[in-house]
Amino acid sequence: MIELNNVTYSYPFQSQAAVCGISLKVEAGEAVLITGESGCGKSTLVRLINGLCPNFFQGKLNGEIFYNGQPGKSKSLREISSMVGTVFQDPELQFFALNVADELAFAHEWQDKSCHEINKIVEQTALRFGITDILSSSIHDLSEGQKQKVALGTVLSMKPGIVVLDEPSANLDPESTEELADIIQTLKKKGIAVVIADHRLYWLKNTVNKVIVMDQGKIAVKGDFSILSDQKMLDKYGLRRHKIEDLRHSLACVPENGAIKVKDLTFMYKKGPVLFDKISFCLPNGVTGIIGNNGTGKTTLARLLTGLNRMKEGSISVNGKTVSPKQMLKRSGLVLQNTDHQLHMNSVIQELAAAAGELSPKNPCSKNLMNILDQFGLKDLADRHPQSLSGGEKQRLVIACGLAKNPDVLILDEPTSGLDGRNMKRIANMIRQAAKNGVSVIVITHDLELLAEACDFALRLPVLNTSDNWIIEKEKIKNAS
Amino acid sequence: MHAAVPMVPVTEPLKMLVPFLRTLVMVNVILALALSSRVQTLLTALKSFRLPVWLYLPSAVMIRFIPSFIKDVRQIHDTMLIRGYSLNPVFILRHPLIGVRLMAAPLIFRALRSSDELGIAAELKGVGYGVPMKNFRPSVFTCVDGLAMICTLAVIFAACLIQIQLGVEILGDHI
Repeated sequence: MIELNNVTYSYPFQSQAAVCGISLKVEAGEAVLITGESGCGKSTLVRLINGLCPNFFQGKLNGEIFYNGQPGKSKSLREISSMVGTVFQDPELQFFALNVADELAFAHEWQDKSCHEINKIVEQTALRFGITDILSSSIHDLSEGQKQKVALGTVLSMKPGIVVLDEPSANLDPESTEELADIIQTLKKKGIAVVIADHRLYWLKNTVNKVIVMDQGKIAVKGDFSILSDQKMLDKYGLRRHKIEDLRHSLACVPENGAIKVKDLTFMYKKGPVLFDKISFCLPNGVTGIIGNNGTGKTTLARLLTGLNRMKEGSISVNGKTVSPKQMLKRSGLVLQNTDHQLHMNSVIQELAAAAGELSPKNPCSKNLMNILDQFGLKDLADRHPQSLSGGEKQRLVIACGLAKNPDVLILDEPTSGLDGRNMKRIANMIRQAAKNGVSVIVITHDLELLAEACDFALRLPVLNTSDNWIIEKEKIKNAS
Repeated sequence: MHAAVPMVPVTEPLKMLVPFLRTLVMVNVILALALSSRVQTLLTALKSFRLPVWLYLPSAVMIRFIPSFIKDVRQIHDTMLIRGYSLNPVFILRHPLIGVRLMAAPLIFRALRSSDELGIAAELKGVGYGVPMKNFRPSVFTCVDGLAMICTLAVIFAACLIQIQLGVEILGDHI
């Protein structure tokens, strides 16, 4: 059980409190969702619960935090972390080992436990989370869902009474998210108090007991899950929807004709199996969502379409003209999931200028570039360092950079993971606007809300090859006659 | 020049060959180790040395992040390609500073962020609070290890012998 009593906390060198007057109680076997717009203070609240604030980040703490009835002020971070387990948004960044078994054992190797004891814990944890078959796998080969399970397994093997999940669904596909909800239910049954800080809400409908909506460092609204059915409240605090429709199976397929035609595409990695075998499809103007399970080649297809990878066979034509991969590289934009890799320059305006092809711009504040920044709501941030922007602002900037070179096709890989409702809608609008301006936009996403908000068509992977399509067509004709 | 002013390094081509060859040998050793070993194997070997936490942890993290670093470099390279910049010799000669910035800026920020998160994870996992680390898969000294040790000692002995017998005669006293 954890209790926060009128807690106010400020980070070092900050005059304004990050959270103010927070009172909250999470009982054993209870799950609480903390949500709110980016920068509302939910991450700070998570850090207060797991003891990182003030033990790691320093700063000034007023009020009291109790862990199982004992005051937190007298406890070291090590003592707190033995009671509170934390899983972060990107579990890979908290892994110390490179294979699953070693990672599960890592924390226990520092607990003065015998080898036999540690081996037993690793075995039991693997069984509990159904990851026995991947114990010797490299962490780099795991899907996001598997990484989440390994991180959870590591944390739960320490037997904490409280578990904190920071943005757990941000990188997960809907199926893995459902599995995570089941795991949380199991934890509740075992008497563990679970605190979840997340932007995505729909998956927690039958899981959480309480919902806390934060705004500007304070608790704005408190109640059970039903409070999230108030659309006005969701809009006011920039939240995502509490109920969403899964359009992955009902979204219209890409039409037979379109601006971009891919013919007989064949591709395989070195020593790998054939990933695409003579597949053909068209990408129309508008927004197309690429839908498929892990390993079906969504990212590879994006790389082939942008010319980053060369196809073994096949061709791509834009508006009837065949285009080489080298030309495709010039005529396409790709926005990767991790914005950190895509920001190089000293200021936002320089970043945009570099993306538009002006490496040493004489006048980086040219009217055209400022107009683009204005469209993306970044005009006031033109002189800021790109790496100092918030997650939503960075995402908008990299999309603006992708569009700055006027591409024929713009591909976005998970553009809204970890974004709040307001930023997600903003990005969906930008995608739609780009499509209206004649760009074929392709979105690779697990975000069902983005799919519903922005996508017109779906390209489902795996795509059948030309001969299979022909057989299916023949079957259809046969059935019709 | 070196004879007149000893502070100035050796400049004769034959003598310059010595540090070059030494570096080449070292690079070859590291390269062979890097290309022939799995990172996890290196980590496991490092664990069995029972080093103090202040030495083990940074070394382990350094090795652990080699694959992530390679992945980061690849992604940054892809981003540059898609923006129309290729880090070829011509581009680097024309824009040396921008060339470094394009690659180094995202790498530095990424490294800072990763180290922050990893530091937090270490704190939360209770690493380095005075309790010595215990390897859950203790290494056993096998015949293969013994053979490898004998071979290594033989190579070191041969290298020393060659250096003592031939080094001075061929290249003189300055090496």
